Amino acid sequence: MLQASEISVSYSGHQVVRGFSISMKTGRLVALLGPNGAGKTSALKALNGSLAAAGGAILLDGIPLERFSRRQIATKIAVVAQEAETGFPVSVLEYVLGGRYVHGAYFGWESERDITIARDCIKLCDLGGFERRYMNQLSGGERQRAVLARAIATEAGVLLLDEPTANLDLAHQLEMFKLVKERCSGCGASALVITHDINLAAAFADEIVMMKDGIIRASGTPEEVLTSENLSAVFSVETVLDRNPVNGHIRVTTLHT
Amino acid sequence: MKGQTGKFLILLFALASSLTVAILIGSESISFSRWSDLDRTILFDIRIPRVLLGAGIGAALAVSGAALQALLRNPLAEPYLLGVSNGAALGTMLAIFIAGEVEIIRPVFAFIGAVLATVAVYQMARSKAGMNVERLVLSGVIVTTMLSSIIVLLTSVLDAAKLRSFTFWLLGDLSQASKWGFILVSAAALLGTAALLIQARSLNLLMIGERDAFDFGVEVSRVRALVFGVSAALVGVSVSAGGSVGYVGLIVPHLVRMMVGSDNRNVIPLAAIGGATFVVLADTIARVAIAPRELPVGAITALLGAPLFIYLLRK
Amino acid sequence: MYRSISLPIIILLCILCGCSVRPESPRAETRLVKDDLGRTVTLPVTIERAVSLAPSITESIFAAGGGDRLVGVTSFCNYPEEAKRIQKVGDTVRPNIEAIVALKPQVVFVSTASQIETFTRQMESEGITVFVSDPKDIEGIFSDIRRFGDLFSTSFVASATLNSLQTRIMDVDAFKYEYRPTVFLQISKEPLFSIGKESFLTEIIYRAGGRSVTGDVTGGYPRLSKETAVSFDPDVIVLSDSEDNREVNEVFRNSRAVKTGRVYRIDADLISRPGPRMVDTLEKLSTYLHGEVEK
Repeated sequence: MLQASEISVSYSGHQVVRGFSISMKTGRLVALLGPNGAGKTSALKALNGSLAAAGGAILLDGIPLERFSRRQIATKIAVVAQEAETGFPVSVLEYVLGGRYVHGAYFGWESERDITIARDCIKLCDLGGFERRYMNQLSGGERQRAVLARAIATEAGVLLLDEPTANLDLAHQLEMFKLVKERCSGCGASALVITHDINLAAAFADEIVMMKDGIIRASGTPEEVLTSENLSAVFSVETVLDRNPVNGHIRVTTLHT
Repeated sequence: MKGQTGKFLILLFALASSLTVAILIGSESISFSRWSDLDRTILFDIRIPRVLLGAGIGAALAVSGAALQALLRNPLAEPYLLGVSNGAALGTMLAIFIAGEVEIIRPVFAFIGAVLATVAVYQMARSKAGMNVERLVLSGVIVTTMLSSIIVLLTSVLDAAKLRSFTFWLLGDLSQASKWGFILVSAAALLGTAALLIQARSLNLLMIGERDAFDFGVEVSRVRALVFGVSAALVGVSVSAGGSVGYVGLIVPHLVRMMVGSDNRNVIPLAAIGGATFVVLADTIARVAIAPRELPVGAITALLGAPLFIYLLRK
Repeated sequence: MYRSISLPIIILLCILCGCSVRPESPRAETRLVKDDLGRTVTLPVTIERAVSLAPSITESIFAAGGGDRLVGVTSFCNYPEEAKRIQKVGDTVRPNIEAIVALKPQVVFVSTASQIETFTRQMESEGITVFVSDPKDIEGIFSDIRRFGDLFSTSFVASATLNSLQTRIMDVDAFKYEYRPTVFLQISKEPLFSIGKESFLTEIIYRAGGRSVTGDVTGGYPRLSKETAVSFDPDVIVLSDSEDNREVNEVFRNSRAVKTGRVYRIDADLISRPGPRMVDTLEKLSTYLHGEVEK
């Protein structure tokens, strides 16, 4: 379980996150919302140690994050982020197998089990049959799913996702959230998802955290957090809230004249 | 992902063939039926050490190129481009200038020169946002050209007698092989390949992205330092023994990737074999084309490598 | 009667008129000469100021008697003593154009080692003639000395020099010997450089009574494969004495020359300059190959 209390993060000399606290409980999906520049990505990066956190503490299974080696962190925390273009042809299977790096020896080939797990994750993310294709031959959405597959392949208990639905079509956006939710409720993982889609967050998140200007403005269940006042304060938009008539989830609609 | 045994055997065969051909032909023909002292001298004192030196240098440069390309996520990265070769050349020149006949000093100075050049490139490329591949390559180009200018300046100031040898260093020249030369380079090539092979899995991740590598458990700074260090050592030892033999670090890894894909666990050992084959062949041409005169091997690797490179670029 | 006298007078008058009508050139009198590349160039009849861009040419000009007219030489020109005191204008490969022009010479003598075309254009735009000297053998060197004597109006001195040089050569030519030793002339140790077909030293070695093992190799100063070098097994090795060439290349370790101690050194200045001291080289070679030349 990953826990952060009152951490701050600085980037290029500016403090971009202040007094950030979060408790990622097993089986729960937390959505992190906020306008651009709110510090969401920096907070996420601090949680897996990519960015240094000052003040406060980050505890992984009760132990300060600094005490872990990179390898150990990677067995417990997996990241889904915007994926960089690579100049080298890498197949989907090779890419997803990257998630198995921390399992097994430093040097050597992946085991049968590694390959099976990778294949399963590929199928899970609806990329079955794409194994031999090269990453740079896939569409943006397909690549994004491969990124998720890789993260799931690590079998890590904590998933940190930075705008995982950015390039996905409607159907796959839904799929993505479903998958992550399933990992949480079904496999006992915990997930933090940064997203711009408030409605999907409302539908799938167990908890919502809203950030603006580096600090948390609101956190709690979707019902507690998603109010017109909060949305107006954080996003500077007028909204009207109601319930989706089919499934009862909170529905946020922005108003514009 | 293994299953490349077939290709491995093909390349081994190619290496064995090129070594055989190289040992059998030269500017003087050796008669095995009427074996004489002269034949022995030619074969064991001159030809074999030189061929083995070529193999060692080829392996070292190819592997170093492959590793740097993976590290920098750029298939065009190469020791020369990053200033490593010129740093090594400058180090060698200083060693010759200061310690003249003491040969063992040269690879040491070359290594130091290569490392210093790498560090310089690094410092230039670093910004608050962290390491960025474009900045790194650009810094490399700046450092390389700066060092080239210093080399040219020094060779203009030093007297004309030394000038000749330096220009040949910079184009690659395997004729100055001493017995030490090939043993040291071959040992370095073997050790270096092994060291980089151990990092191959990490390099596979680094090749995709530094962020990715970091997130998925690679100790990025450590692996980076190690790969740069080993590459610098490989380049340093090669340049101090035979000058800057260009294109090997660029072409061979590329060709190998075309054969077996990008997995560094395959690319690195195959690049070593491929690099050795390439330089042995190029040097054989250099020795024989206008016999009894010789061409610098770097000219041949460029003549072979450049068209190949253009062809690859267009693919 | 009128006619028979007047015709020659008229012709004489015409000639005289023709003479006075010819436009006076503002410069001193000039003449057209051909240089060693076959270029026809304009030189003043009396040369007052000249620059030499090769040490061999400097020596030849001094030998021909025109040394006092040299106002600029290269940094390598160290012979004779007087040459050292002349203003330096760069080296053979990179002459300093400004320095040359500042000396206001009438002619610049170059060897083909310089980059002829651009240089010539630059000089000619300043009104300076470029004369190329490129002797290919001893006869060529002598012909140059004779020509310099003519150009500098010191034919008397040139002739005296030539006589002395020719006498010395005749002594060498006359020397009787039983066999021709094979000779390897090492220009540089690492990388291994020797002389080839196009080098005049091949002829010099022959004249001195030896045979250059690299006489068939194409080029002037080829870089040689060690395998070939070791298979020559020369009787004699001559080192062109300069800093990077103090020792014999290790491939010759077991050669006849090294085993019998027949390794000689000749100053690189003597070997590399196709000038009057080439005769010194010839004499030294002859001595090394066959012992003292009988006078």
